[in-house]
Amino acid sequence: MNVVNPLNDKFMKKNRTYGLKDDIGLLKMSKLMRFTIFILLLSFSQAFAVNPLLINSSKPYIDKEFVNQAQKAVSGKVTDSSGAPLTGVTVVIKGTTTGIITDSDGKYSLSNVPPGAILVFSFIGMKTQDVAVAGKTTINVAMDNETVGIEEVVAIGYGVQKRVNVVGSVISISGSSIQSIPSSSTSTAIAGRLPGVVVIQKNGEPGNTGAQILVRGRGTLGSNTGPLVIIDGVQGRSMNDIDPSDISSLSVLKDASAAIYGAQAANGVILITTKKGESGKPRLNYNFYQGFMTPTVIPVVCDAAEYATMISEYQSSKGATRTFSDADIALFKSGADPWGHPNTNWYGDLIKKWTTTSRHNLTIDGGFKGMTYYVSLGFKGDESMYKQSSTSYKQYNIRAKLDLPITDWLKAGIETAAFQLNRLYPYKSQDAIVGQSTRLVPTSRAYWPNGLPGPDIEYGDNPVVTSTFAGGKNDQKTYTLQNTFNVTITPPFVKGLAVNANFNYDVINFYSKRFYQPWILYYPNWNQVTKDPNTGFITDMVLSPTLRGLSSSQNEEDYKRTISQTGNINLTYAKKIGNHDLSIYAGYEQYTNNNNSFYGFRQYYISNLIQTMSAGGDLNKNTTGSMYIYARRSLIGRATYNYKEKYLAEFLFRRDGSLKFPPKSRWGNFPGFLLGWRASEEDFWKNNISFISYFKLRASYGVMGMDPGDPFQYMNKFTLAPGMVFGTASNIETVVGPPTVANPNITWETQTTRNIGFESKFMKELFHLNLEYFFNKRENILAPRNASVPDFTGLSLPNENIARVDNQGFEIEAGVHKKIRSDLRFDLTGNFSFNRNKVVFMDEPAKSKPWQSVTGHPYGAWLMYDAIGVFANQAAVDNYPHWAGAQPGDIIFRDVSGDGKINADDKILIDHTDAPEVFYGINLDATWRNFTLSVLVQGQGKYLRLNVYDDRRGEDGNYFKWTYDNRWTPENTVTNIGRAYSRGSFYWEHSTNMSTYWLDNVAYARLKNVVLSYNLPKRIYKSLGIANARIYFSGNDLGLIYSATKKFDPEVDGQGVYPAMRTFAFGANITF
Amino acid sequence: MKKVFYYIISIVMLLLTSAACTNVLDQQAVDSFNNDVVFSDINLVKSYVGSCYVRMGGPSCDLGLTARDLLASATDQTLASFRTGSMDHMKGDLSPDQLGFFGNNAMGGYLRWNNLYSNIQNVNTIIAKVDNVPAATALEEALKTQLKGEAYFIRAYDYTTLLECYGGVVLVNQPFQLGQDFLTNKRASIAETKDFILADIAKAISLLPATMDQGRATRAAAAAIKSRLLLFCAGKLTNGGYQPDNPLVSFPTGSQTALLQAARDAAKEVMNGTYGTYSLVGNTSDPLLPLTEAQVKTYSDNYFYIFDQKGKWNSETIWGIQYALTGGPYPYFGLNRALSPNGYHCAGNNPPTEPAVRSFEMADGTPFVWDKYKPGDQFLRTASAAQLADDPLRNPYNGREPRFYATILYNGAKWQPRGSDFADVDPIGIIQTANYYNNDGTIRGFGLDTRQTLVESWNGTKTGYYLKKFQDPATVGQYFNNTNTWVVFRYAEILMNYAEACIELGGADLQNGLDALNLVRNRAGLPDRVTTDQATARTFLRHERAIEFFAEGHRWYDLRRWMIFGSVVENVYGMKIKEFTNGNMEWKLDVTDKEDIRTWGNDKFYWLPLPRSEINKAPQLQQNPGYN
Repeated sequence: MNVVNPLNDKFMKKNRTYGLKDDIGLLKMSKLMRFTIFILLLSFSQAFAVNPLLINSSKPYIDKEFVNQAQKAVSGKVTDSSGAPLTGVTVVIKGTTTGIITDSDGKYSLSNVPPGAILVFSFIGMKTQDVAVAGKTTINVAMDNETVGIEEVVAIGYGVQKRVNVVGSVISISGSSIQSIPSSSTSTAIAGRLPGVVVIQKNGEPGNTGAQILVRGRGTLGSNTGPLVIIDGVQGRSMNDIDPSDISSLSVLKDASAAIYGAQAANGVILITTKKGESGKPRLNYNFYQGFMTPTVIPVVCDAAEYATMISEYQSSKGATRTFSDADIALFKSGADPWGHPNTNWYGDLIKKWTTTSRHNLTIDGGFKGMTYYVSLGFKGDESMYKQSSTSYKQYNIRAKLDLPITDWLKAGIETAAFQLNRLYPYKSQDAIVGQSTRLVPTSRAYWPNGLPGPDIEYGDNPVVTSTFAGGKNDQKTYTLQNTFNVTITPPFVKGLAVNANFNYDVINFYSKRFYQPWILYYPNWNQVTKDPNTGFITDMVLSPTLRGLSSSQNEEDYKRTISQTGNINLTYAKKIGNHDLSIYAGYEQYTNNNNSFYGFRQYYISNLIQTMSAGGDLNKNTTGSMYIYARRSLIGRATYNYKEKYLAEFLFRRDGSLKFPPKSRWGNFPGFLLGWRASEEDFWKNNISFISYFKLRASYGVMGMDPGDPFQYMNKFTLAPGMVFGTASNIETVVGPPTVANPNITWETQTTRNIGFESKFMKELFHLNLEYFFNKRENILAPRNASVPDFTGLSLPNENIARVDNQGFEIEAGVHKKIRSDLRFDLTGNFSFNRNKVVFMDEPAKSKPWQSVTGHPYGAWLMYDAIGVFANQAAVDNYPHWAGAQPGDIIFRDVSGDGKINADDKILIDHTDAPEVFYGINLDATWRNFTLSVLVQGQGKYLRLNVYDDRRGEDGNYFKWTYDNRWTPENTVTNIGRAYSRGSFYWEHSTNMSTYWLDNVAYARLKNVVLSYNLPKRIYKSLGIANARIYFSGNDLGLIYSATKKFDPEVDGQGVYPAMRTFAFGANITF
Repeated sequence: MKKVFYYIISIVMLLLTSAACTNVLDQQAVDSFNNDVVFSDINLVKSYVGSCYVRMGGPSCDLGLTARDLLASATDQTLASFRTGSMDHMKGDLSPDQLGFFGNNAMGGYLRWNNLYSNIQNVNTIIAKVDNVPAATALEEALKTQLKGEAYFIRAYDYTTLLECYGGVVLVNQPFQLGQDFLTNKRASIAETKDFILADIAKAISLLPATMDQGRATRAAAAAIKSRLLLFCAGKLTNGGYQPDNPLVSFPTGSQTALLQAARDAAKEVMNGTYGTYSLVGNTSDPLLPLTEAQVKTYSDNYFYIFDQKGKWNSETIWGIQYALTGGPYPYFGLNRALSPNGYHCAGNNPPTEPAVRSFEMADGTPFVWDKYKPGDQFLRTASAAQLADDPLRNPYNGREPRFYATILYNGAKWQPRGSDFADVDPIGIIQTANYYNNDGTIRGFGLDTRQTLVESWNGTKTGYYLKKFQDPATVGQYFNNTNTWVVFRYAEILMNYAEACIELGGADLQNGLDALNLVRNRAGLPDRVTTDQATARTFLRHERAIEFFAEGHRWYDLRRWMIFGSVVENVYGMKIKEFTNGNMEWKLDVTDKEDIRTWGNDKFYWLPLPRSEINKAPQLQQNPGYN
């Protein structure tokens, strides 16, 4: 490895050489220590002077292995590439744990350094350098920025690898980079930060905000598209439960590097590693933020006058009796008659301007004599936007980790993490609260003028009441316990060999209690009113309190228990012979998952005050339960080889057996081959194109699998179901069947993945550019033989391994990294991903029109009419093929078949309706003196989504404003918005004849998150025992820079769901 | 010390390894079981037969889901308020690509080609395997026989439905296996299909006992299928009415008389008590006219409660489907919820159309005449308060035959008490499909059950009426499911089947037919029909079937069998009723307010097309005539 840049050498000679400084102690450095320092430093600003942390005045400690050799002191100064001193750089004698950290002038001094030793200089955000001492006593080093990623090592699945040696398409971020973002879950926090990872947050409801993640888009049919998530080596743990403060790093395996996860890896793998303790005296770190949230975009609906106008237009046009006269409309507009002619803003009455989110985390870690510990306590609380708070999400978590060196060849570790997730909702779901708020008519009343709640639209739905606990609580609690035990033996007699066994036992207990009761709404009595004698308007009314929603109180309770156990025994061996570096991993793993659930229901409670199950009546009660098992056994292997870290090769292998499949097709083999070439290490490169200082070419090929679906599809399964009432006692018989037809040959979906890419850095790492191209071929996708087996056979077709989907795309990542002054630097990086899939085969029944075959289209292509405008007048209707009964103001469907008629033949397939193909992020990190700023802009490309929440509009419910504005009327004939309508009365209704009229492009670019932090000057808190203090202001989903639709937030699932939240937060991170 | 650790570690690792060596992959399924298990225990076979009943479903298309759209809404009788567009056959638009109500849309249903065949596959599996199930006792042996009989009954029912929808179909009596050659199965002729079903019915009759747990198939239920099937086969549609030379949809020329005789005899067997004793409920003697209001109510209630039976069935019920308050395969079985007015927070679906309402006679057995007071005006009727006091029959809903009051909810009809929300406004529970006007004609208020009221107005009636039949006055539809039985076969149908066969045969049989018809009429409180003319008798019969079986699901088959769809399909308009402060009334059929535009496009719609996807998968299947 390149040691010292001659330029820097020259530069360094100008500086004085310092001798040993006694006030800086030596510390026994472990890898862990370095790792932890690295993590901590990352929490603070980069490339910026911080205190010599953790090592204030400890007594110099000298490793005894080295004291006996002929040693001398080495000292020097470490600077960054611009020559500014770097504080906090770790300097370690290679192969030992002896080291020190540079002081505030960037200086270091090590005594007792063997003459042949190599010093390793490492610093967060900088490239690690190895410098041979070669008898020198002064070694000055200029550190270069690390631009590929900020990590030194990357988790790659069953191991870690130095970033430069990674040959797979692996991207990663550190936990600290998302820790301060006030996003509601980890899955949403990573949006835009990882090229090739599509993140779609569909919902803003507290406790329900986990995003859909697609690694390199979709590669299969159906809903099984999510990546495998592995947390600390264990699957089945939720990435949204984990406290972001506990995350050390998050990596994504996108190509054949995922093959080491075999039969589960085809959708990509996300690896999360949690933090560990580090040696030293106890450190206490406290991080918190308090956030304030407000909805991003609220769908706009008509006000009372607009609604009444539109309904009247509809009713007049069909000759029906008008519900509202012109006088009514005028009164709705004027607001003079609040009892008789209200103008209700349902959404406005439902929500408040601001609600809150907060997070607290306290960690204590430390260690001595090789033993380390890490304890973390966390709390997270999200409140709802409803005016009368009800919905909330609270999470409490604790994590304790202990690593014990029992002997010098034996280590043991134990870790326990516990989570309690409390989700609290009212009886009605967000759909009935938020969704119905867009449907409730503004001519009805959320509240009467005297403050009592008004009537419902149906089923008791008055959101200002159903958003409260008036109808009861839906109280969901999840208790998760994750336990890990591991032992590692490094036999002293075989260098480089380690045998490791670990065992994980995870329990998830879910309990939900839903005690619901009818609630009171106030119905009008139009005959018992007091009127203003002058205006004739009602000034008071006798209202009828009415119980709505349920006939009587009821109670449901759910218990679910999931136990998953993972056992893994493995062997690692690393050997370096000359320039040949070889490492081997071989392991055996077994995973089992057992799930039991139980459900009970009773109605007719003797009192709402006694909510235990046994207080319910006997007339209407129900119990159900279910069981589920899954198991997998695996053989896992990896061999890596590199020559001078220049030629890199990796071979992966996994053999998986799954319970889901019959013995003969149970086992599958999944190999991966990865090759890398650091061309920039070649002499010809250095001599000719040295401005490209780093260039690594990578290629990989691998086979992976996916085992979706229910277990035991290989046998014809009868399941239990409720049957008919036989006899006269109204008893329901339990019946079995009908059976599913067995597929005795069922097995994996297989995916072959090809990836080629390069990583590069230019002009002394001012720029970097990485490019990847991939082609995934998913075969044996489980799909029924729809086109081959006629319905008269009565066979309910099993899934067979027959379909194929191809998916290809590319990712670009580029950045500029510039230090402008010693105290001002910025990093601007951007990433862009594109992928497109194509259904190659799915045994699709032949279509009468060729343009209706899904085969060849991306998955999810949606068959519908092509809306090409609005009939301006009767002549326009007469002049173009139209639906029977079409009238002016109706939507024109394109006559695709050209036969002069509009019928099912004219439907076409619309692509881009499943997920965006383009996803991107632009990230700016800047530091100036004590300030650090991180800004992320994130966006997606064309993606078409339904722009109506439901069909119940018109007489059935309010209109969205966009259907009112510029709608067709006899006076306004040139427009692209259809006439006033009512559910069930027009052929272009979306549920009857879906057309492109009801689709909106939800492409967007948004200011996703911003974190501005300030490191408080030390003098402020030095006397308080505080080692470091940082305060920050941050925000999430701050604003839309561009949005193709204005109708709703482009990210969430339409107008009917709880909107996404714009969050502003302030917080602090304090280390004692 | 070192040694101790070695031991500990070795033990831990061994434990882990041994735990890992139990073969977790060879576990049995925990939540289900397979063929081998089911067919080793006759009780499990019984449970399997139970699931075949579930999938057999009722005659009305959507019973299994939410009783949303009745099959009657595929005819002139009622309107599927929310899915008018899916009645493609009344829009001139039915095709193999667009089956609407009869296709695999989100509404599911039981008239579907694929659903019927999927249940036939289940039954075939049972029939093929039941003989080899061990039976230890005589009771179990008897159970085997019974289950086989039930299986034949279910297969006969499902094939009858197939025949009545599609004509001759693919006949299957063995379970299919995956990987078989499916390209050799062709459609049989309608005659072969009929014979296949008759053979199943014969087996079912011979295997089934006369009485069973209520709800399971009986001999009489199997005989009732036979009566229904043969009557359908004997109709004009399959005997020269449409494509007489196509054996898929027509019987050989000259077979109609034999079919009619078979239909007559099949019904007569049931009437003779061969399969058990069944009779009409209520008084079947010719009523003394005129009936008092109380007598009308007695007749009306007697008829109404045929469809509101809970617990043990009456003597008229041959077979029906029972429902539980909660649970069961039809968790959303809420006929009240589906049919009751919006003013009761229900969906108000399947409202009767104006022509159907007018077709109910007067209590004295004379036809109802809308324009009696203003001859020539078929749309508007008005009556002042004084006129109404003088002659209550000026109100079109007064003085009608008893079944009218059991079938239709009209403006002013008494129904359930309102919920507490409207108890103040309407303490009794009177249907309000009128709007209220001041004497000067300005609007004063909207009826609770109209489309203008602010209570779930979109569920308000589009025709001016609601369907009362099948509802249970004791069930609060907005909260509760119905538990009254859906009657599939009742004795009145057997009588009417017999009557129709006899009248069509004519001659000596004609009077026998009229006698059976008059039994049904008398029971409803109406006087005898008297004629010797076959055509007149036919008119009488068709009218009676429409009224007696209103909305029960027969109408769609009847209109097709008689081939009169074209003459009854017309646009659906709303009845607009005005009540003035001074008591004056106005009833107006508002033809400017077209609630549904209907047209009978083509006689090919008398048969459903096979779905396009099925023809594509099995090109050997011949499509029904007229469809490409």
